[in-house]
Amino acid sequence: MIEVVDLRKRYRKATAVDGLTFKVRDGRITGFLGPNGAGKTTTLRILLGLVHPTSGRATIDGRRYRLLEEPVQRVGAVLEATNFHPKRSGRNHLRVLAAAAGIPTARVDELLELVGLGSVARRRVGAYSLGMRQRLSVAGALLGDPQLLVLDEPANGLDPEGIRWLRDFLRGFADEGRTVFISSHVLGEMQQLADEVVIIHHGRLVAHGPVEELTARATGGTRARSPEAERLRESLERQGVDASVDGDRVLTTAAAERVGEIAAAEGIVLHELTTETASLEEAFLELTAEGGIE
Amino acid sequence: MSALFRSELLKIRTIRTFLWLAVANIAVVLVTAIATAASDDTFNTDQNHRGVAQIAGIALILALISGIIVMGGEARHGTITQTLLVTPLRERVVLVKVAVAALIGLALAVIAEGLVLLVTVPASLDVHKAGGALLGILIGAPLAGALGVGLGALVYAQGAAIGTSLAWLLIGESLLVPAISDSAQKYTPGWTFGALASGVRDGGDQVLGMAGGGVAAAVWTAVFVAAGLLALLGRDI
Repeated sequence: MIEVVDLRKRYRKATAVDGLTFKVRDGRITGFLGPNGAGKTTTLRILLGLVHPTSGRATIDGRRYRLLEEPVQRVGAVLEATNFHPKRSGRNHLRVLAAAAGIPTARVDELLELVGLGSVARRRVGAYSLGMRQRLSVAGALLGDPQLLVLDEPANGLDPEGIRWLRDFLRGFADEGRTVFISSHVLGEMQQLADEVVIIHHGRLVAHGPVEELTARATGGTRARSPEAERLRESLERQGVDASVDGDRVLTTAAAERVGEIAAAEGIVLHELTTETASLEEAFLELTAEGGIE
Repeated sequence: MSALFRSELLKIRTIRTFLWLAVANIAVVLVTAIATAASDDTFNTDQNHRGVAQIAGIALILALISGIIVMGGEARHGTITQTLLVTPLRERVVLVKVAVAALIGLALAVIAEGLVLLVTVPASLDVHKAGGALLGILIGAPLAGALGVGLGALVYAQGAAIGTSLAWLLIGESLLVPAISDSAQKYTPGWTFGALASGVRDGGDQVLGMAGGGVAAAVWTAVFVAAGLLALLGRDI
């Protein structure tokens, strides 16, 4: 389990992480969301022992990363897709990592095939596209067959096919009871992929919970379609409900039940009455604009 | 530790940078040794014999650059992130890199000295007279490689570390230090390594003897490795 407790990181002029506390449970895919500069990458790098926190702690199974025995076998990490020597081949890049972790070269070849780089394994990484480098990063993270994957914006540079491959792969990984902690800007993708999300803003936690719960808490709305749309709007507003008309559709923030009751009382015909739930993107924007809800 | 050592050696073998350094080592030594051997008055004095052996001293500079690349190359290409994810104990990473760089330095020195002997012994080089210089270079090159790792970790930028070290050796020690203090010059890193490779047992006012130079070079190496290690331990990657 990942545990982040009162984590703070101050640089000379800026505070990147400001008293962040959350837990990531095993066996789930947890999305880590926040606007640019929210502190996601800093938090992940502290978790992985690359950045020193000013105070607080970030642990995996109760231990700091540097104190994990065989860290590669416990945690796989995908960070920037630029951390390669451009003159070294993809296969040799993985061989170097495998050698340091005491992992046989056969595992390298197996993973290159898994991520679809088998045919270009002996080509220099400098000739790889960004998407190919991301796949190579994923292969590197999987070398030790870890129980936990930590990924920082892994979809960057991937084409739609690559994103689909990544989604299917991560889902399969989590279905085996393993854990994925993934930061991303692609909120639509996260809505499909994540079981729960941690949302931070200005280095602070603004929301943490299952995706369905967060989208339900965010402002949704009701859409009604009626041949008497204007009359319905007037009736709603007389009852103190804000509404707007777009052709034969009436949009309002009131619950569908209330809209239906008012329409019935006024004898207004409805052709459609639909509750619109907020998307993760809408929930995210609402939460980060407000400064958040706990 | 042995797995990490194998990994570091694999890093060296899977890029051509170190191959080019070895080629430079061979080319410089061969050209200089052949030109020296062809000269009529090369072997007139003991000092001349030592001077011929010191052709292999290019290995000291190339070992220093190799050490910087072993550490600074990781910073330049960002591969240090992957290295530290696999081996999060940074002190272990630095120590293994020191060992690898020392090995590279030794290899460069052995190649350089082998070539010097191959070319100049038939032209009358007396190995006994040149022995001190050859031994000093064999000891100094691994130390220079190790020092390079410390410098690479300290400066944490490959190009800047190489540029700074060469500028220091060419300008700093020759012009700046004497301008401040004449007696300090013999204790500077370049001069101590030079003293070690000189093959001269007794020093003087301006230069340390071989043993003193060796001790001072070892101290400089330890200082740079320790400083580099401390810098890396405290650095956010």
